[in-house]
Amino acid sequence: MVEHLRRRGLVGGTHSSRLGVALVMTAMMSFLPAYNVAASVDEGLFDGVQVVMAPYSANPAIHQDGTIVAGEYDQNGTYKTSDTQLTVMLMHDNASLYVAISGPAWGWLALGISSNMTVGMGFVVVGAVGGTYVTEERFVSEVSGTVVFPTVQPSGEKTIEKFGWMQHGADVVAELKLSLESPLWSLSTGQVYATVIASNSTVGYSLPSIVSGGQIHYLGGYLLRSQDNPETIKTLFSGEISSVPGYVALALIAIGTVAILYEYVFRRGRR
Amino acid sequence: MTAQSPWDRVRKGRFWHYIDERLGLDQLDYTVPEHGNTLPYMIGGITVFGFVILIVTGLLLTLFYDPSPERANASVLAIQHDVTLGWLVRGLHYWAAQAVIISVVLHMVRVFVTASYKKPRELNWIFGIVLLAITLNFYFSGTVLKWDQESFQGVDEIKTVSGYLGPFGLPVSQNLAPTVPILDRMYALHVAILPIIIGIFLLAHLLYVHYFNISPLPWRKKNSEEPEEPKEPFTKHLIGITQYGIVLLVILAILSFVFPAPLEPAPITGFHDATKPPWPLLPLTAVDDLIGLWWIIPGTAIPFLFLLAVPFIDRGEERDPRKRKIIVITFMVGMAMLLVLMYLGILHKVAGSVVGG
Repeated sequence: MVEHLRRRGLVGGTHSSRLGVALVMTAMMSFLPAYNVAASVDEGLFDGVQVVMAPYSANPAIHQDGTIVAGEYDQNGTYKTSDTQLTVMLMHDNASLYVAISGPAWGWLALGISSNMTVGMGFVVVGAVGGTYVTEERFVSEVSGTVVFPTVQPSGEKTIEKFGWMQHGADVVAELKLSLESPLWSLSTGQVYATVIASNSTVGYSLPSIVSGGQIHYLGGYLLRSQDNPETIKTLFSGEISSVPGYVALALIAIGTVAILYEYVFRRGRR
Repeated sequence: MTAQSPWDRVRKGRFWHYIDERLGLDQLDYTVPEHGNTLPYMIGGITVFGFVILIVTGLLLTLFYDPSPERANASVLAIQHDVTLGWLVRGLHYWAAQAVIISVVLHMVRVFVTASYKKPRELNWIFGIVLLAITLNFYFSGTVLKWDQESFQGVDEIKTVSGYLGPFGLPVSQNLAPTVPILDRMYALHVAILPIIIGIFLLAHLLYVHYFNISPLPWRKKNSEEPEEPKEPFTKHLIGITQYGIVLLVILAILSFVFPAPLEPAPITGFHDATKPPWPLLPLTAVDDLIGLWWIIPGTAIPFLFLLAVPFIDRGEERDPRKRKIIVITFMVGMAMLLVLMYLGILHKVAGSVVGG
């Protein structure tokens, strides 16, 4: 690289030109760590969170048509938001993440997943704008209680592969097919990702620019592996661990110790 | 004329004579005090029987176990469900490990209470404490091998603790061999390194039990005028241990059938504190909860240093526990603290956290 710069006359000239190049390079490099340090997802927000699962299906019979038919989604991948009564359903096939959102006509819902918490979180936003439902992709470099959506969409390949929605009386159903590999994230099975579901029930005229407080639900997101038993994984994430072996061992050691003490301290020689 | 037992008839047979002449098995026929054949004095022997079960079942498990991180969990699952009687072999191995931990602790309590560590058995007590430490390491490395969420979390904690220990933590840190999975190292530890070390110490421990014979009852004074305690052949002691051992084996087989050895799914990354450690490590969980992970280092080292120092602290000739109040009460307070910490560990609420990514 130095040889290349010398041939172009950028180094090897006067002291002042060399010093100039050094200063410019130093200034450029100083931005690199600054970018990484500023962009982050606060891990503390994800302590003791509920984990939502996306069950695996090799060939899911899912169509992004805004209508959910019986058996299209697995019940193990269902999450209900407490405030807006929206139901979010998740599935995946190792290439795409299938998302369905249903409930009484809602304002917007944002699904955020971070595949690298030191960099930030990718968001897919679905919301009502001017009587129709639209989608947007946003990458948020800092998640710390408040999410500020930048106005610029990430460039390159899009995350949303397909989108469809339908009004069913008072309810609206939206369905998305999202790529697991995109500028927003890089997702694989066997790992829990920091996940955010934020929503608002008020039907507005634009997608949100800032989200905070009770609108945000901090979760863990997990794509089930093909060999995973959803019930076992659900038990694992719920922290339901049997304490029986511990109690039995505790009792046996305690009883044994007391019996030895009884034999050699209290019953000493009375045989 | 007294009736001969089947055992006596075997010993007078030609086959026994042939074997005895070549292996010197009559050396086992030395006498031990009568109290040596009571249950408290046989717990150590029952522990050895448990180790024999562990060796036999462990050797069988190595035939089907794959120690690579990608396939370890699946191979244990296959042992449990696909290999003929694999569930029984793994179940016996798992339950025997639990039994050995309990029996080794009770053996230590008995030796302590009866002051069997006193002169000239001080070094044999130290061998015993080393054996206790090796047994706990055996247990931990064994739980890691199934490579499920609990194992993964255990290794994660060990990596953190090895960082606290600096250069002393290198043998268990990833830095020792960055490209070698820590699971492979745990496998080598469990099936090669620890068996050699435990073999040496167990041999020494048993040799000195034989050399010094079973320790006297704690209230029997040296040069006492009481009539000497009747003696019984050591082979009776061995038969008693075998009988208890067979009962233990039957109980372990029933436990294996009723409560199969646990196995969680293959590790899930990015999720911390998703599960609890196995029960012998629960006191450490409580210490971590109460005062922080770093404190498990002194929390482990101090009790072991105390145990190693016991024969040098309590050097008097008195063996009666009622006349060794300070050391016995100190020991019992320590035991009570251990049990309370274990109880707190049981109460510990698991609440996973998303990390990294």
